[in-house]
Amino acid sequence: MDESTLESLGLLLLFLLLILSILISHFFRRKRVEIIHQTGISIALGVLASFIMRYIFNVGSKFTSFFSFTEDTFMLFLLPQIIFESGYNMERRHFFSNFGSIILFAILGTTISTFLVGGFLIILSDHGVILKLTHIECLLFGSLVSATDPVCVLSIFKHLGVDVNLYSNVFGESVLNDAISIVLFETLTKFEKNTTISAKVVFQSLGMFLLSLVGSFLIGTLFGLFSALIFKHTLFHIHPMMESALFFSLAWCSYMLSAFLNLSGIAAILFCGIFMAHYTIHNIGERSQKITKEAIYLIAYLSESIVFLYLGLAVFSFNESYNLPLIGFAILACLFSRALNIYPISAIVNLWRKYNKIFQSHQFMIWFSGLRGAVAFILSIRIDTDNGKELMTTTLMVVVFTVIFLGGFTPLLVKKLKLERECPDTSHGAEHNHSTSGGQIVDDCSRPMNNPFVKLDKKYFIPFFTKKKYQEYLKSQEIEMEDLRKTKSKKDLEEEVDFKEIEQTNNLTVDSQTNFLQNIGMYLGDLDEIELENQIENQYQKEKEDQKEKEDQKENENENENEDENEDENHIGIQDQIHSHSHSYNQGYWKEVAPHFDIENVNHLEDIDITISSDMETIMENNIQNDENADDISSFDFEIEDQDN
Amino acid sequence: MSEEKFGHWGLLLFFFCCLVAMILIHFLRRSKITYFHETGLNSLIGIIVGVFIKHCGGSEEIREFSGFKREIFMILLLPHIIFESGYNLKKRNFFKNIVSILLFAILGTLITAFFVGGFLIIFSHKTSIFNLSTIECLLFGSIISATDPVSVLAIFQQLGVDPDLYANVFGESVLNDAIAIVLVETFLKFRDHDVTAVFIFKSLGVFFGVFLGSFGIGALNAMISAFLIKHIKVRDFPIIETSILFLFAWCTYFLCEDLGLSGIAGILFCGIVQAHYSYLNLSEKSKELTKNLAHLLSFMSESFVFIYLGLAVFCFEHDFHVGIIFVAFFLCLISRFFNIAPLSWINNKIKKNHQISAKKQFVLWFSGLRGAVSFALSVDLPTPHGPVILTTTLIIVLITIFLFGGLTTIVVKKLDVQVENPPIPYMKNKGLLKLERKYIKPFLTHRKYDPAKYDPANYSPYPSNLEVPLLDSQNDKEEKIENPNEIELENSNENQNQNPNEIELENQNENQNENQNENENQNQNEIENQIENQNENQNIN
Repeated sequence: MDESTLESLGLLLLFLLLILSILISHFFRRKRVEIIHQTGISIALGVLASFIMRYIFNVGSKFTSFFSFTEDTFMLFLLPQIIFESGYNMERRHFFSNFGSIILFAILGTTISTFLVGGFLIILSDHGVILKLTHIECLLFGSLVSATDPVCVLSIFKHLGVDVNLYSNVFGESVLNDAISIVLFETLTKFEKNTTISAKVVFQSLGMFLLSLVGSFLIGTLFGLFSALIFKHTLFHIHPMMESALFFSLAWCSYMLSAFLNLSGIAAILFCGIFMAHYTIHNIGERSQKITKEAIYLIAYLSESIVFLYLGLAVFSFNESYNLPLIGFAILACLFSRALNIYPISAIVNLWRKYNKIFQSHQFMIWFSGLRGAVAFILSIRIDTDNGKELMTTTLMVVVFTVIFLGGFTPLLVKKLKLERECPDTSHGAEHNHSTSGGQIVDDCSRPMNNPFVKLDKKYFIPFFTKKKYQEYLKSQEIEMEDLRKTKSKKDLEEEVDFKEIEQTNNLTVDSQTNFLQNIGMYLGDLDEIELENQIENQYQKEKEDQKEKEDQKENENENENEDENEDENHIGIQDQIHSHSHSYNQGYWKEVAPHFDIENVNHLEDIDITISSDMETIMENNIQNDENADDISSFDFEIEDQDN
Repeated sequence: MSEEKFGHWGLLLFFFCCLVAMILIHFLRRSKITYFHETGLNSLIGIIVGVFIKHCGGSEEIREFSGFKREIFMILLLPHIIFESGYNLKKRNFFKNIVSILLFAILGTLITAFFVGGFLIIFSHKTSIFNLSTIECLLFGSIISATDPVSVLAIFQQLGVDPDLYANVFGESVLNDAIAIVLVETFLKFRDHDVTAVFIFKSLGVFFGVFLGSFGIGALNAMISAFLIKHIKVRDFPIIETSILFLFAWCTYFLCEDLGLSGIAGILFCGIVQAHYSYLNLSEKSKELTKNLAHLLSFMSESFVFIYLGLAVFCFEHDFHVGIIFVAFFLCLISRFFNIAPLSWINNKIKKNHQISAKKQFVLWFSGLRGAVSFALSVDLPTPHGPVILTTTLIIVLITIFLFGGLTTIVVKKLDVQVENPPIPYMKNKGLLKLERKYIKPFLTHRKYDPAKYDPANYSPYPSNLEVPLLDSQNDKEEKIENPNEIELENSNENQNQNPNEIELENQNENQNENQNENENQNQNEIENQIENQNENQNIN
């Protein structure tokens, strides 16, 4: 076989496996198997396929040539999108409220773990316990293996709905430390292969590291802001397709430019993503916003799956370079170094902070969620020293071990440690909402942001970088938030106590609207299908009667309100999910729930219970705040009627 | 510089050109210039950047960087362009004109390829103007037979040209790309053989085998994807639906390539069939997502190809041969005449109700621009006179883009082929179509009848998300949106935009409806009446 046919055969195999892994993971998700996640499935499938290739068809060695060229592909075509997406969909509010701890974990933690793992390996190899490695090799391995992977853990967290602070800590850390460990790695590769470690070298590398971090931050930021200005001052929204093409081109430009200038492209595209999500996206038209958001998510999703498949496929594609003691010690070193970096840093953070401390259980969870993933593997391919092969296979095994083992136990652990979120979060637990809701909606209105940066941003940057429409909308939203805050602060004490009692007794009687919802939540756990049907129907009838009365009373008012709302929507458009959030949250929620009530697909009912339980409080709060919108429930009733017919 | 650096440098350059091009295109669209299309602009920017690079002495590096080789075109860029044209094909008009389209695409392309190839052979053997081997002549003929009238189509849409004409031009260009590619691949396979009559027939046989094989695999894969999406419950996960759709298309590509067939033809048919079945099974959200994403990918790929084309003008090693260029250019024009005129005559004999008038024939002849596909095919040819072919193709592409693209508006207006309110076509429910509707479609799709979806008001004869320069009147109104206080104006604009001729801010409904529209015939379709009755009965119950 010549090279090009081998290539296309490999790609065919890859895409087929990709389809298979998507289907299997979808099947598992529907059957509520939580022990293995899509990343795990991808890896397992890849391992299986490479095993078959190697031992049944005996073509394994040919496929190694197929893998050897992939490093460039990874760096140019797969990694940028993954990182861009994570920067773009970052929940900025929680991210910035935990900024201190995230930065500490990311910068200090990554550096600590790099040097710990590196040092550990240096000692071991100097004493001849494991393979003889040079100092630089050890440090290289340390730096690449300290890049934790955001993909797997975060999707599990999102699915389970864990505490927001824990989520943003893990998210922020894993996203930023990718960038940082890549920078560290790239700095280390610039040294001569045989340099021994001295203090000078360490400081030199730290200097280079800071330089390239700052440089790529600047490039990323510049591109983000530049793009905001471009879209602000041109009327691109009449060409949606071109608008989003331009959006992507700008992001990739930042990556390529900083990679070209020997800086970290990853860090640049990450910051570019953050700034684009903050300013640029609000300047582009509705339609292209939709396209852009979904395209970003889809592309990142596919790239991630491909990377994990490659990972799995690589396991049996390399010959005899597995070094078991090295692998064992490397895994141990990873676990220890992560413990030695998380616990002290959290202690420091807790000393510093007066509120929002990192609990013991959170610390444990952060430690546990140190999965290694695509970035580590990609970096390990790039080691071209004598023992590069061994280090790569070691990394591979570390990744496979952490993803399958640690990733598999994460759901269990979350439940054991009771880390489900207390404060309602907006990404509705279900992953598919990610693309539209990720990072955009801010609901935690209890604590206003008084960060000086936020003030500066509000006062100067937002007016300068965004369109007037968006600014007006922000103002209106602020006023709304303040109203909510006032009402909430009054009710806060009484209601929250109520909720806790209610949760314990499972007997909720707060409001006529929430009543219904809560009952569903309870039914899902307990009752059979038929009972469920009957009870829900009874409930409808009661609700309908209640609602009709209310409707009659409020018809006139509602009409006025609706008109206002419609106008608002025209003014503002899709990007203003935050705004329409409080208005249409209930409606949206009903629409989401309602389709599941065609009784044929009772399986679906199982799918929602988590969403409901985690969003229950959101709903209730919103209901309390939006007593005026009592008519929302009527839309639900109509849908049910249709289906009954 | 290391190899990776080249990658970064080259891609940076491309994205940068893309950026500049898009910003300029934006202003171009806002200005009232119609004789200069964005393909032209893209290549112009490529040319300018190329001049700079050459001046700074970097042409060596850019050429070396063209790790942008043939495979990159064939694997990364062309499939997206072709898939999109298949997936967003306006099927109702396409199938209405299927006879003429197939004639022009299959026979026409073969005629052009062999006409140009044959005359080149004669020239190179009998005269001393140039000296190409026989197989190279045939290769060149098939390369140059791929038409790519993007700019013409955009102008057609903008001016509201007769939908049949539009469908003919569009359908021809979509199919003939695939055919030209298959032809080129066939000739490349046989490039070491001597050219004899047997060889020609053999290669024709291979050609049809490859074509039909790719068609079969594409259709099969698309049907599998439709079946899958129908039966696994993924409606709540638009991302998964979309991934499955695209992955099946890409799988088709690689499967065809592995089997020695043409991946491009496979992905084209996969796109067409997926639009026919899989599309109907998708949730509303993913319907829009798939269309937009396909369009986005093809838009970017096309920009890349044209920028590359522009860069190639000054940065590549060229083998200018004025003789070949002249001869080839005139052969192109003549061969297109010998392709359009006889085939239209045949079409007029067969189909009494779809006549192609002389005017339309002229427009068809006129819209034979060469573009992305021809250029992509000519890059990095593994034959001795590869550079000559590249240069000649490049020049012909540029001439047709600038000359014909620029004159289209004038020609269309002079010939008066515009139509005010195009009639809505419908397909008679008979023969194969009936069989298909009765058995295959219900098997592969969730077929639900929804009267609102067949609303003629939502009908548009042109593909919905082709981006078109604004009409003059519209342009003025759009400018006022700049002022955020005048939002009422914007709203009124949006209403106006629902005219079928002004597709700029297309309505979403249309997107969802168009494919449903294709296959339904409101007056005569018995099945639908049955379903409607059933629905009514259900409502009564």
